[in-house]
Amino acid sequence: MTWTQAQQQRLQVERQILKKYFPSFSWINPADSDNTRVEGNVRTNAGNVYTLRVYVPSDFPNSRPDMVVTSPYPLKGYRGQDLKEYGTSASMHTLDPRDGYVKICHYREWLPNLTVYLVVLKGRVWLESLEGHRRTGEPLDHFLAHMK
Amino acid sequence: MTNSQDVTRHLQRTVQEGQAPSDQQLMFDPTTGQLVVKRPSERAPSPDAVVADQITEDGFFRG
Repeated sequence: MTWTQAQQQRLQVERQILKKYFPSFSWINPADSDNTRVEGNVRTNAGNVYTLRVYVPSDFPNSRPDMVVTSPYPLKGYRGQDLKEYGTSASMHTLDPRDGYVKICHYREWLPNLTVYLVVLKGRVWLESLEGHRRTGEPLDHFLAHMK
Repeated sequence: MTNSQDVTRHLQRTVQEGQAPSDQQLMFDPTTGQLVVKRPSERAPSPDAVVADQITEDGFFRG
């Protein structure tokens, strides 16, 4: 499937914004609306490098993109626990894995004015919270509030 | 440069206080990819840096 003209215009804007704030991110299969992903590395303040992947849904921007951590794999938490084992967890802000990777909770109610850039920025903050969890053993909701 | 513990301490305070601490600001600096905790009166780490506190105040989906 291909993107509609309106979607192509929107994705062009998304590309420009993401390039400004996360220049290392790449668009994978950008012409295939059934398989478009955005992927890139982020380095936390603790110095660890993670790869985030955002799945751009074919009806974008009308539904919420999924975001997963693809590297390191498996993604480990406190004392080496595989975070996939949490599945959907309110306290860890995770959802059931996608393609075997830990899926990060970000926005509850998706609105078309939200952007891929904001999703990735949330991923960046989530990863910094993961560093806190790995240091202290506290769940992620110790560092990240729940949406009201 | 802000270390990771300063960032998580800021995030923890945001959860505890129900809003971003009034004496601190969390920013994302795209030139370094780092999160920066600074006083509101201090200069931003770069002209392109963005305030990230709204995101943390809004919170994350519960799962």
